[in-house]
Amino acid sequence: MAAAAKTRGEDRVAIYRLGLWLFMGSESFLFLALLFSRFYLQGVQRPAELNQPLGLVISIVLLLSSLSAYRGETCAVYGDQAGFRRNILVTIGLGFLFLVGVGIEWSEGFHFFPPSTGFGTVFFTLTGFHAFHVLTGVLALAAVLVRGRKVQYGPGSYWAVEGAVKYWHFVDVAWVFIYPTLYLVS
Amino acid sequence: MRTLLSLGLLKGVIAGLAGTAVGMALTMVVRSALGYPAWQPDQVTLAGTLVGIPAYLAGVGAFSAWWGWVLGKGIEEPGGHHFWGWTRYFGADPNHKVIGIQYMATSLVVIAVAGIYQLIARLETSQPGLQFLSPDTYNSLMSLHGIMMLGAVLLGVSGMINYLVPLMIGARDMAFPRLNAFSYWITVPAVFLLLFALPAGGFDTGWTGYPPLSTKAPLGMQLMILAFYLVGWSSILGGVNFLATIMKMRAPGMGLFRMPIFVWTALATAFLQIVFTQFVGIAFLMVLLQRVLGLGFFDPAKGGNVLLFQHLFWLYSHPAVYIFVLPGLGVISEIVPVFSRKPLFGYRLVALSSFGIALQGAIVWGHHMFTAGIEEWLRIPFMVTTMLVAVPTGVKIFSWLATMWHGKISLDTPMLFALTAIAVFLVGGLTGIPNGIVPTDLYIHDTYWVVAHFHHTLFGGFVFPAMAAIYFWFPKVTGRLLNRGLGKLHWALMTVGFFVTYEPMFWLGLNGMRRRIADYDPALGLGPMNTVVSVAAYVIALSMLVFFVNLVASAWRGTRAPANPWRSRTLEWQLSSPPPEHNFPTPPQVLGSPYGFGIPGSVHAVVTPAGGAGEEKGGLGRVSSG
Amino acid sequence: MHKSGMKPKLRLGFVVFGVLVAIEVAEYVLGTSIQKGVWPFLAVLAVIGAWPIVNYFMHIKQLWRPEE
Ligand code: HEM
Ligand SMILES: [Cu+2]
Repeated sequence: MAAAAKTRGEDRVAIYRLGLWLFMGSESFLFLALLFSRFYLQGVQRPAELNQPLGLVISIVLLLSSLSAYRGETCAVYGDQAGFRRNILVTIGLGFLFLVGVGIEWSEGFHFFPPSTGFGTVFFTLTGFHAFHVLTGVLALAAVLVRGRKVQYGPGSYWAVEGAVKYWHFVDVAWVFIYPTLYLVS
Repeated sequence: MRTLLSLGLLKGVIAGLAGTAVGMALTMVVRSALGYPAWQPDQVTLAGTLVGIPAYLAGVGAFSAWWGWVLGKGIEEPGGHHFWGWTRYFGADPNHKVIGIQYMATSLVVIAVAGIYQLIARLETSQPGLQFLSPDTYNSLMSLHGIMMLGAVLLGVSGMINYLVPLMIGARDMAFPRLNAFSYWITVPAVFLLLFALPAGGFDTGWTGYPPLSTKAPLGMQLMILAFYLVGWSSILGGVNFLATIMKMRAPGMGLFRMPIFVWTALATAFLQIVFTQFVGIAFLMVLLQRVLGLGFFDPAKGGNVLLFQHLFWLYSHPAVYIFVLPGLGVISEIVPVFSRKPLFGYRLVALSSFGIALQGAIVWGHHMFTAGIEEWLRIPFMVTTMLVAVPTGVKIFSWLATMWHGKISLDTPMLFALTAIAVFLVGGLTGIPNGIVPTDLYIHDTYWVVAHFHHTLFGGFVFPAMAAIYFWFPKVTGRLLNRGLGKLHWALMTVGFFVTYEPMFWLGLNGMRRRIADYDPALGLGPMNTVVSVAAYVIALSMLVFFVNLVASAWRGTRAPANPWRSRTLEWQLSSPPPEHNFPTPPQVLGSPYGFGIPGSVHAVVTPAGGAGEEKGGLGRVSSG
Repeated sequence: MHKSGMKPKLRLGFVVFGVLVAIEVAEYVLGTSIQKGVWPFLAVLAVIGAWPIVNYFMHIKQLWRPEE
């Protein structure tokens, strides 16, 4: 039916792109609501027991994963299959590394500010929601990788990669706001 | 039997039930392994639904195209699908017309159930004293009535937009047909969850689900929350789809200011859906997290604050009333010019007024919390912003009146319903003013005044317009005309029933009748008036019965409809009834306004008729030819 | 599209990443050393940090300028 789309002057990729942006726009209101709740319930308080170095490290890990995702997408755009596969694999690995970091923070948090306390409620919910989005991002990237075994990405046919990677960056942007909100304000 | 087993719905239900059982069993095993008692209603049922719903969706077939895509198959673009027969209505079908009908049918079923709940509850309140319901059962029925009606409205809104918008803008389908099917199919488990809520103990919070009550209510509460969440996601994904469709799929020449008003209202609705639904979703998830995992959002002992819920809830639920009514108001704007044979008055302003309403609606939520203990200084700003809504809604009302002025009005069934809708909506708007003004609201808050007010807005903004829409577009959808006599009977009964049910409620509210109560003090002297209300409610029910009979009988035996029975000008009427599978074989060429009635030489669009190169025509119940 | 266009784009990625890490570290230093009233600065820094991602990594401009 691609032919039919052409005759109607539809640009499918532009439509997909718009749809994804609208979806991410909607999701950003989810995070906005969560950030608002943090300030509404807890003001700018934070416990001294937060593992500050760990927070910084996992933030940088996530930024690094955005870099590799960007590289993977760029390779796909130019039809470099090997580079695409390598970089997306790295991204997925960094995503898991981030999740491990969050896991460590969670196990410490259970002692110092368990989820049944004021800060714990906010902390576990925000990081939990974000980690869930990281997980869905990993799934999206994995799906694109699997598809890449049958389909050659290249100039003009890389929407799948672009979409998954955009979503990955979105999850990163969310963290750029969550990180200072949970770890740094006071 | 073979056909029955091939139905997506049936496969989905079987897979869903199996998945739910597996999820529940697993949780119980894990719980007892950890040394807890195996049964904990909230956790076990939550786990059940978390497994059951994806299993159900897989069974329905909502994932199969995406799964194929992951494995490297090409994705079929809108319009690639060919399959006829009634079974397509019971499976994941990507055609927007099928999905529109699915939404609308589901909506009508839910409205019927929710109506029956309230008819039972009204029997209880027709006299003071407790007749036959316990207060808890009364509250459950009333709460389920509220939430199911609102869910049904969301479904109905999606149904109308789905069916009409692609046709009206000259597109072959929605921008994302498979996402569209997905959005519909996640609402079906929501309906099941709501039906299970009553046997699961119901819930006594009303549709608003305020904590702390909702954190302690029976299991029914949790099912309601999950259902709300599913319908919410359907609404968000639907909104993404509507926006992308309207922005990217318009036919050549269809500039924004040549779109029918209904499309404009759909655009504003979609905007509200994707922005605000997230707030209520997270608010209810917080309740769920507190119930299931013991988090402390709404527990002051754990640093929580119940007002957080109310803020998040109304941040959605005020704009939501515009999600409910804007498409209905759009329907009125479509119908009034056709039956007055005059151009729509003030087209541009009317088009923009929907956005005015949408933006204004975002900054007024506090008017629901005047009595809830919000900061004193916040009350006045919320009161002032609330009053502003009079401007854009006034634009719409005056536009309808001016359109009818000196028109050649024909009082066909759709027009009759539209006229009732205008009157009812006007009363609803005017009686909202005392709710928005602080001193009067302190007095009438939580009384039947409020119940009367919002039923006016919902009936005026959704129910009556939806009825008008069904009478108007039924010939297009099915290729048959609805029976006119039964239609007028339905209209007469419903209009009279409505006014006799709801006008007395204002009086009841002012005289001390509180909402959400099963019993009231006989000394108030409210008994007789309550009896009137209850009897009239049954008249509304009777009118709905007439309506359902008409729907079924006319779809089966009605007179064949011509392509354009109302001599309307919008694009969908330029196609055969029912429209071809992919709407327009070649894109229509749009040249001017859709409302140029009586203006010499005015043309909306040039449509190349379908039916040429072997294009199949289809509709309800057309049997597959292979 | 020729492969030669790829190199400068990959290099741009490193530059953006460097800027992002610098911002994050600045936030960290601010947040952990100052005890009161840092949140407005952090808010500004977060916005400044989000922008390069949205612009260079997510190509938001493609929405209104498709050919790029
Ligand atoms: C036969 C038609 C209907 C009758 C007789 C009816 C009657 C009532 C009554 C008496 C109440 C108040 C119960 C109480 O406070 O104790 C109520 C509540 C409500 N109704 Fe209806 N109603 C009807 C149709 C509808 C429709 C069509 C909608 C929406 C489109 C709707 C939405 C609601 C909502 C949202 C509530 C609030 C429930 C709550 O307090 O949480 N109703 N209805
Ligand atoms: Cu409101």
